[in-house]
Amino acid sequence: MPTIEYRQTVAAHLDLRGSIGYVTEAERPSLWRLDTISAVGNSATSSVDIPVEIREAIFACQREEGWDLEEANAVTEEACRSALRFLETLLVEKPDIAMPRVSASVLGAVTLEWRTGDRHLAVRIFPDFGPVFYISEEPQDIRAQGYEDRYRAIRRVVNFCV
Amino acid sequence: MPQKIDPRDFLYRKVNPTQWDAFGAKIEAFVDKYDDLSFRLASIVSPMQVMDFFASSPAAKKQYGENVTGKDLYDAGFRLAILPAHVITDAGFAFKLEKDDSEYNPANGHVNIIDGKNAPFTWQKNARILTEEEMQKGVLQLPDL
Repeated sequence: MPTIEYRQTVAAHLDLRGSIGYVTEAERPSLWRLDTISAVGNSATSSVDIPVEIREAIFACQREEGWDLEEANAVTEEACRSALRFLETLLVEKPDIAMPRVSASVLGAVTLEWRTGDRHLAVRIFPDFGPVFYISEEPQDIRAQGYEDRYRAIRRVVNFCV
Repeated sequence: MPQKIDPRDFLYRKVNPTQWDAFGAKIEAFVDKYDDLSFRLASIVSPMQVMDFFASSPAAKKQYGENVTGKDLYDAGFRLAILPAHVITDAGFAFKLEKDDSEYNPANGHVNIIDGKNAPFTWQKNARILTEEEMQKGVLQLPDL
């Protein structure tokens, strides 16, 4: 089973902080709880508990270029780690959130997908800790999509799953 | 004479490994690198012909060997999703026209949905994954077109 090294996790959090510089102080505390994630040794022992099958599904997305037999971008280990960290952050925000369906994207990302009745939301996580692509569909074919920073993407998923 | 797609027809789409599970196709199954979304028309090609087409690609030979077959791709985790053709127009999307204004390529059944990657959830909820038996038998009781 893939593990996350504490040092890498911390680095991810630092990257995340850097990407939300414009978030107001009032919004920060819940995100800052990431600092409470602890570690023992080199293995992942965060306070969030991601099921083994979800971790495995995320890392199973790792693919070489052209994996779709056409022109797909590679899905790198970094993309998988990036998706795992996104999910960890999400679980800190909302520990009881439903686990997503996980898939590899031909665009070189890992996609996490949720459905609630007739509502759908997916976020496409790229390897760099930059913007996340989201796409949603509500009843009456109301569709939305675009890029946003991780913090806003996390809030979007949390709000969707409430 | 330009060929039109009968709304009672069906469309096949290749689904890559990780993009399907026991519940069906995931949304990434309906996203391409380009804006238009590629399908094959079920009245023109069989499921295994679609798989064999991809098996003949250089990428398939490179990854799975020179003699790779459509069945090998199935065993490697590739699948086909099937979608009623009318779903496309019902959702307000259109087929990209060929040079002769046909809605599909009569030679290989290839169909492109203009900007189809913008509605993956719509395709997903109207699609299902073909079973292994359906793949081999060619399955579908297509209506008389």
